[in-house]
Amino acid sequence: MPKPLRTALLLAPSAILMGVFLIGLVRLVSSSLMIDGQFDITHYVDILNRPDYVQMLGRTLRTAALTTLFSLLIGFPTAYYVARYKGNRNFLLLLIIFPWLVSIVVRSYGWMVILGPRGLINSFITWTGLVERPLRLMYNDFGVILGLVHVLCPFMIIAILSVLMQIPRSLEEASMSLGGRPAYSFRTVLLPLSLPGILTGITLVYLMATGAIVTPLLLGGLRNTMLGTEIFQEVMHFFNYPKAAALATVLLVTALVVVIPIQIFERWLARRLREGESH
Amino acid sequence: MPSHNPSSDLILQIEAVTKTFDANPAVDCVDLDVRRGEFVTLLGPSGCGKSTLLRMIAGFETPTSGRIKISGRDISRLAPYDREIGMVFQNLALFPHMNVYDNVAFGLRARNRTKGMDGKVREMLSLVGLEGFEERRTGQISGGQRQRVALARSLVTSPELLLLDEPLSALDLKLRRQLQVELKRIQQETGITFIFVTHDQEEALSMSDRIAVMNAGRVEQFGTSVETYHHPRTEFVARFVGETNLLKGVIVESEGANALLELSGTGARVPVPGGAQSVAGQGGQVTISIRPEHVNLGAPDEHLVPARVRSHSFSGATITYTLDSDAGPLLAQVAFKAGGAHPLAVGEAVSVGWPQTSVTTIPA
Repeated sequence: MPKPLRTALLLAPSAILMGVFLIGLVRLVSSSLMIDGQFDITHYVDILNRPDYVQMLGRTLRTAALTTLFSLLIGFPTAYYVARYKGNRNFLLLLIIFPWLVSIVVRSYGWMVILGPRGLINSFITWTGLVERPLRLMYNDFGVILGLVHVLCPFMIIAILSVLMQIPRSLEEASMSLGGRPAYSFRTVLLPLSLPGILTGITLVYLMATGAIVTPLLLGGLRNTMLGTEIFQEVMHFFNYPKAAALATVLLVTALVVVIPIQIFERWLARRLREGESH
Repeated sequence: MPSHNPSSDLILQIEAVTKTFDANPAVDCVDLDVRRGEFVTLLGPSGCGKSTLLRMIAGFETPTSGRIKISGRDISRLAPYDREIGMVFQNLALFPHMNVYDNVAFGLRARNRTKGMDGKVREMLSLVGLEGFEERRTGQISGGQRQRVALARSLVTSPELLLLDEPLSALDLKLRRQLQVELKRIQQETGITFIFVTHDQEEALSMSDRIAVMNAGRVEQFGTSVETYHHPRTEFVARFVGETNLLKGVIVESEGANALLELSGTGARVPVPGGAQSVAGQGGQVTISIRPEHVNLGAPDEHLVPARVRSHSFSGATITYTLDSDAGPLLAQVAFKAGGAHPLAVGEAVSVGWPQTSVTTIPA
């Protein structure tokens, strides 16, 4: 096959995908800026003038940030354990991605069974008499974050695992033999070398958490909706496409403000690390 | 560098150390004493336990039983970062996110000894011949230079003991020879005790003060290079260190310091050195080892064992003949005389002998 043709064929699928996404994105933004064919920013003004929307945006970003943080705190040690595991690593990987084999709705219902007012935890602790009234474990931020961490943590684990597998154990041993205690070795060797994977994980989890719909809907209750859920409802219940588009654009922009600098930093870091590696 | 004290005090004592992985002993009841300032090599095939032993000295593995002492102090249970032991890793394990200077300075920073750090780092870099490379990244220098960085990094904290885990195995032969000489020079200049792991017997013979030959988790022999080569105590050592001819036989006569061995297969009776009787009395089975370079070739009736040339290979200064004899295949390495025609043709009948002093007796 001639080389230009081969290149064209290989590029075609991604070109089509990118084209479709780009058209969708342009149409999304433009429909949010149009009323009756006229350029109009009323939707944005409306959004910013409604305290509940501003609050919702704040809650969305905070929830996403906390979800990312907890996913990182759980994900890094897990990824480290798997990377250094001497036995059947594939089995551990299977356990990690196991949540993905179950539909997100089923998983959220699972949490409702555990966290609900008459759920597993509450019936147990009321039975023991530790508390008189059931604890509020869901229909609040706690439930949403818990559910999101459960869903998104595997992405963090796999992103970090992929870099940890590239870091030879001997680098940590070298640090220890030079007198580096565990905290020092972590800070000066493991952390800087795994940073590209950590940043990828943060980006993935943060983006997916800001756009989450089902988990906040089921575990967050009515008063704790996130922007993704709100957009979903604007579209499915009120058929208000322009408003949904405006909300989606706001969400997109606020997410990119966080993600783009991270991505730029990651590129720079990865290039620096590559330069240091042996040929 | 402080000049080293040639007193014979022991820096490292390994006492009955055993390490088992899933009930398989990787290191099996090893005893080893290393004197201060010595260059000791652990030599053996892969899987013989030499690396596991080294990793226990470094603290990356804990002995299942037995004790490891440094300067008389038991360190078997101490974490690696609490031991003052340097290590050069097989893959070097240079930190890819740091430049040469920061790699070398790592040990001083980790131990919080930053006072006078700059001078020490530069001193180490000049010891290994890498002045001016401070700002280079580890990916921008050659394999030999990376080797030197690893060495400088492990020496900067002035450890009492330096462990080297086959650090030269990835280099080509020429660079390898060059770095062997340099390692030896640095060891002598610094007076630091080196424990060097390798599977390359030539490397071991040329560099070491003493060699511990390991096989299947045990130390088969621990002695100087010359002892190890010329007086192998076991068949394994004789075979692993250099090439050799192993001949089996039965003691038929023993009188004082002399004994006569009847070689199996030939019936030829050869004198073997005194002491063979102590290994096996009259009628006892004995194996003798004769290095190929000690074997003399002669006309068919000149020597004791008749043989026939099977093949030969020319390697510059010497020719190595593979011979068939009734005692089994034999190797003979003879000096090649300049200008001479190839002396022996394939299939030619010869006889094989050796000076009595070159015979080493190995218990069967």
